[in-house]
Amino acid sequence: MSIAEVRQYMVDGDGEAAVALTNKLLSEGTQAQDIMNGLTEEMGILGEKFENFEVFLPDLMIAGDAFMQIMSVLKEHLVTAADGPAKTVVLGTVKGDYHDIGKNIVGIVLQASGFNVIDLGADVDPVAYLETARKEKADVVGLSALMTTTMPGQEEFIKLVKDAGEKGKYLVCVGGAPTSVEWAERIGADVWSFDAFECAAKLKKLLG
Amino acid sequence: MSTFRMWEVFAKAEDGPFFKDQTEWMLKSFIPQMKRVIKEHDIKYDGKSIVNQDDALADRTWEAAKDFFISVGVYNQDTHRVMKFTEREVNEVLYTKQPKYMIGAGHDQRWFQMRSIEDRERRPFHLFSPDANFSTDIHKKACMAYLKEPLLDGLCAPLIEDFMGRKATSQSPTEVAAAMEHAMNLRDAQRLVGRPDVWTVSVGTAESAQAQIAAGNPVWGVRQSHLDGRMVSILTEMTTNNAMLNKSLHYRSYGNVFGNLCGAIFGGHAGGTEGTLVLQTAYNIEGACLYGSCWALNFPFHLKWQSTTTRQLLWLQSVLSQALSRNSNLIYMNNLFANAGPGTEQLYWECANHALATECCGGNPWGAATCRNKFTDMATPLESRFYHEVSEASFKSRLSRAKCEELCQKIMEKYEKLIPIDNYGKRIQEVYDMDKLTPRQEYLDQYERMRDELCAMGVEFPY
Repeated sequence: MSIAEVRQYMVDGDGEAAVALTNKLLSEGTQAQDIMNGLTEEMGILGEKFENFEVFLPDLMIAGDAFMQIMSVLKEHLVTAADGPAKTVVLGTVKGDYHDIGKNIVGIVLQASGFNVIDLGADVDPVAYLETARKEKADVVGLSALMTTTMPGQEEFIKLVKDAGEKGKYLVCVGGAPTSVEWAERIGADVWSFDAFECAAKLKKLLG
Repeated sequence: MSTFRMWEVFAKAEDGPFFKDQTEWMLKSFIPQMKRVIKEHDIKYDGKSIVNQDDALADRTWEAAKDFFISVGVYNQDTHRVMKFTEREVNEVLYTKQPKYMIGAGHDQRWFQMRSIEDRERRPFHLFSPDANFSTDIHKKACMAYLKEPLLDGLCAPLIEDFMGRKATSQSPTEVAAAMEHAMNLRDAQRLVGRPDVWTVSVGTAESAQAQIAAGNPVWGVRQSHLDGRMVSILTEMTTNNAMLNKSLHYRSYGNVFGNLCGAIFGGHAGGTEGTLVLQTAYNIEGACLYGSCWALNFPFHLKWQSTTTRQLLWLQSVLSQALSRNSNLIYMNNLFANAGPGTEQLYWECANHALATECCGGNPWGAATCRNKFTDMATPLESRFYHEVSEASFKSRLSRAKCEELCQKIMEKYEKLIPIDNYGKRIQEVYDMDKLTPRQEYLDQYERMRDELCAMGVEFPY
């Protein structure tokens, strides 16, 4: 019975067994932080394998789901880390766009990288992003778009943030298949990345 | 359940099993069922082949796809209910599906039909489509340039980027107006090049249901019945919503020979090559059952590159085509998304491989989209010409699956390592003389060189 077994349950997507074992380890004196470090490391390995197409999105999803179940147990046992609480990312696919696979991958990778992710889903109104960012004191707002006709939704949100006098309060991150670094620069976004992993790396660097 | 009993289908969106969100449905139903059908139906890819030659695998793929579709159903994002179909309903739809449609009119009237593997009778249906945005000022000219192509049986015209200086934005007046302008340009372009009756799949600029409806007009816009085609998407993955159902309702009441736009993502919810293959095959059944679509446009694409020309995806299209041709009446097309852009040799190789890997398996070519579908004005009729000529050559010279496998492996060596590189090439304004709407000599020479290279490898062009 060890952290290695919890990691394996997580990879297998067996959240129930992982939670039961986590509770047992905690009751026997294992530090919550040690378990969490192990899980984060395992999610990192899974992420690298995903990037190399050795594992696929379903593997990430079931592990991510188990990870969140374990975290709900660990949360109350964890003391705030030296570098402060986890940074919050508000994520969604812009209004009029129902495609969410890219956004989902970004969400899982960011969670695995230690971010607190609030997923608003698809077809998200710009005002909903703004209000959630305020309420959750977001560090990042991420907007995904898969259609050329929905890309303007990213620009609309940035305009809204400027009009509300909130530019600079959080990073605005845009992405999606038809977007590019040139598009991000043109609309005044803070971050654009090729994929979910580059996104996590850039945000970590920018947020310290 | 006839394909025309659409109201019984729509009722499923209100009566099916409830899942509070799509992720819950994915984790509890989609992912475990996909794992099960891959295992039970023994779907395996060797990681090397490009053109499948195993008929039994094609048949198992069909059975796996049907099993998966019946087990999982379709998630409706608006009602949070799963629209499920019984095996009897699916069989009825498949039995009553028409294997061919007469589309277009006048001298551009054509049969649009399902084909068999290594078909010796039915030539491929050549649908030209850049699947790209074009600047508004050259949109009509670009439509004319494509319509001039001799092999063209149908056209899905480029999309319009802006309307009156503002970016066409989904669900806004700019989208509705851009969709109308798109349709008007296309009608004008058809008359100006002498092909007023050619079948067009219209209008790509209209993402929303309201823009599609606004573009329908028998005088200046999208025509009724067999004269034009439309498309409705399956959302990723196995998902729909009321906007899509609205489109299917409009298309049916308008009488169009419309298709189902479906692209499973390699590396996405279905996993690797095997899962993506099963899902893509299931999409063809789903489109027929859910939307009553007359045909499907298949674009299974790579999560990272957004292209359809990698080894795995060509193999996938090859098995998919054989699974459908051997087991159903479903009409389908195979969509090319290349990594490279106009004026690059890589693009020609990608076009050749997609054409060769699909035609001999019963496929119909739809293309050519370039540059991972990312940039404005970055497509020309010249690479589409090449793509369709290779497909026609494959048909005319009766290339077998074995011969195509040999050719595809050789061609793959020429571009596989280049896929991760951004080789986006030139804009149409650089490759074409936009007054005469003809390719500039430098690019015509390159096209001839690429044809010669392919001839030297054993591809015989009919002219």
